[in-house]
Amino acid sequence: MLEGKRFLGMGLSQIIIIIFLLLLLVGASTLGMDISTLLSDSLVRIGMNAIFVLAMLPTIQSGVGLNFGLPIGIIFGLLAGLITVENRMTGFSGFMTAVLLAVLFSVIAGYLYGALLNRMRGSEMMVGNYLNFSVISLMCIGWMVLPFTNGKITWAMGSGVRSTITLEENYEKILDSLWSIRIGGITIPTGTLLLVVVLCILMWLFTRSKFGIMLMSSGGNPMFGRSIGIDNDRVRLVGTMLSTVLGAVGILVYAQSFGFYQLYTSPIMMAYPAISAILIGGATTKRVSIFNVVIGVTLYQSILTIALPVASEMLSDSSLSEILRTIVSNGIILYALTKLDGGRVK
Amino acid sequence: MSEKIGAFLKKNIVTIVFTLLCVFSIINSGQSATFILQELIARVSRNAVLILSLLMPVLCGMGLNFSIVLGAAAGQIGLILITHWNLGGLEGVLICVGIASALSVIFGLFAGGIFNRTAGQEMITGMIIGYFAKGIFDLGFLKLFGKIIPMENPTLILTGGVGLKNTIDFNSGIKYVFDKILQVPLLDAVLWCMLAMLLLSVASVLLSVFWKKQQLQEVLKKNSRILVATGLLIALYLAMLFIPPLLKVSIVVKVPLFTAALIAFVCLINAYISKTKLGQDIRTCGQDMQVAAAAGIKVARTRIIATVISTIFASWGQIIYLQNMGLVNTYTSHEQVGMYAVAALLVGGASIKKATISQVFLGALLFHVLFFTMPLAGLKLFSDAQIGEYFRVFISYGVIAASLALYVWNQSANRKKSLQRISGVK
Repeated sequence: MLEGKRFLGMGLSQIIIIIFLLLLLVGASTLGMDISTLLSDSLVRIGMNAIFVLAMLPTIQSGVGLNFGLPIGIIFGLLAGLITVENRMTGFSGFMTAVLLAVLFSVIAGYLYGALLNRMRGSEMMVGNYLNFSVISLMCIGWMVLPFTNGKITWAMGSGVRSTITLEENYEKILDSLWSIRIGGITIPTGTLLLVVVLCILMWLFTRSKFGIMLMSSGGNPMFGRSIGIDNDRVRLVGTMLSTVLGAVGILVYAQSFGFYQLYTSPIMMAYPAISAILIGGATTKRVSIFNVVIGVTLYQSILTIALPVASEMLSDSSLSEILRTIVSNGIILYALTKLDGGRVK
Repeated sequence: MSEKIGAFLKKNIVTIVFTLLCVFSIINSGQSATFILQELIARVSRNAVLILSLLMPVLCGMGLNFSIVLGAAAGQIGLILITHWNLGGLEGVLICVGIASALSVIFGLFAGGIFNRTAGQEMITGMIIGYFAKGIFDLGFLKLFGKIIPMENPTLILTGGVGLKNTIDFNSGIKYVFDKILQVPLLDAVLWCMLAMLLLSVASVLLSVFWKKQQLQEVLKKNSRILVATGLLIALYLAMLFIPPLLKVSIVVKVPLFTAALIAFVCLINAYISKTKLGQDIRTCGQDMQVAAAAGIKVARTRIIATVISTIFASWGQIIYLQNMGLVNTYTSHEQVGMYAVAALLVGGASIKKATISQVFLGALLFHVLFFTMPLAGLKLFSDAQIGEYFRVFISYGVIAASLALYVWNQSANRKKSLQRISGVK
């Protein structure tokens, strides 16, 4: 976030956070907490959330800005996941079916969402955010009336699906436990992390392709883009669709690690942690790279999984962590918003 | 003609759709007119000031101020403090209003300062400020009270001795402190309003004719609005007197006249401010910040003042709201204030750039009718109140999304049109 001298590609704020994290680990060990559990937890959480953070990349690059409407993709991922659970699909094939369905749904949803955002130049964040709120609350009614019949996902009494659906018999931890290894007490969720790495590489290759370069030059400066013959609207549309698809796939990866699908209002706030993470990684609302994604999700999730337990341990109070999470996450977004171009009034 | 109707429909589409939804929902809720009217009066009177607090920032071109959450929290803190000190009655409330206003100034300065760094994205910023502030307030309520702010009060503090309880009941001196001062049947309320308006219009007509020596016809024309309003009130009163079912309802339903007077007072302050030099500055900033700056207006300062005014009004609004509820949910009462107020204002036909006092009341009326009849209608139609509950949440979010989208859409269409006009290209 801070401009100026860079060390290993990192800005000052990232370095401060890393030093802070190291201090925290030292503090945790003096408090007698289990360091390896903390590290394992953060690895799991990094894997769970990385794809959401990656989903912010295409919208920023194509000039749409931060995708506050990420939960629109998430909701279609959940729908795809529920269909596989309804049909008792299990194991790797079940998960892959969910992913394919999610991609299918979210391509359509992303197209519509992107087409709308193309008419919302300059207000994409606000409109995206409230569209997200509307879609999620509309889907709350949807979850109550959709014709699911499997007793595992519908309430025993009354109508509608349960608010949490366990994946224990389907594909819980299917990626996390794939080639999972333990090194010195730290469990590494290899499959999930590998998928994240593959997606990051694919994304990197995409940005190096002809279309990717078109995307970035149009997003960085739409006037320039238009003058060299790029269809800005098309570029933005593709960026939004990619982001929505990543959101949909992201929730499936998140859920397999978490072990549950959470429905109704729970996806409504899921864009905010991803936004905070990418901003902490050094991205702005205009400029972003894969590096920002990786460093961002690593730092943000490590802070949450390491700092909050340590803080709770030190203050001997567990109710704090949720509050601190709210403050940290929204404080970062607020800080990044004040850095917007041309937003200063004198 | 049909073009005119089309333009009218397009302009007021949100309000029209909402009116239809309200009618549908009232019919299907299966409730008596007395119940609906009583609920409606209670809800409009307790929400009006919160919605009014949004007007100044709109005038200043900052869009809908989602950060009134901060003002609401200030009002709440004031109420919690006087509950702790066991103050009640009007003097207690005055102290509460003083504390709340002082806190609101600080919060308003903070929010306004941030808005001045995020011009063009004030609404999303306001929302994030709201979330951020919620975290800070929660931390304060949970950790400061009892530990750093000494407070030994078993009715307020959690059993551990630190942190406020989830729900705090106000004592009898604060509960309904405004509402119970002058509670009269609807019939009498209408009569009093009618008499006041009659007095006002007769006085103003007589004054202009006999003192300023103006022509009677001209005077009548100039005061046509107030005269029409008086006429409508008289008609309403007569209708209530002579149509039995209306009479029955209007005797039963009670109106908190003092609260209504408070709301009118806030409306007047609002109208007064917009007539002063400050109001002109605010309007100019709202039209074009660069022009305003070129004209020597301190834009940043004006925007901060608009935010502070909005925050103070919001704190008063929350006090009026909570005294009617009789209790406060410490950690959640202020959370959704911004969203509901914004949704109500938009339902009344306001946009990001223009909002009037009449839109405040129309919006409050429509939004809150829908808000409490929807779950009832849902229960009757789907035999499940939860669907109605979800539907009203969807409505609140959806109306904001739709109004914003329609506004931006129209704006870009207009820009395109004017570009075409300038360049002469079709």
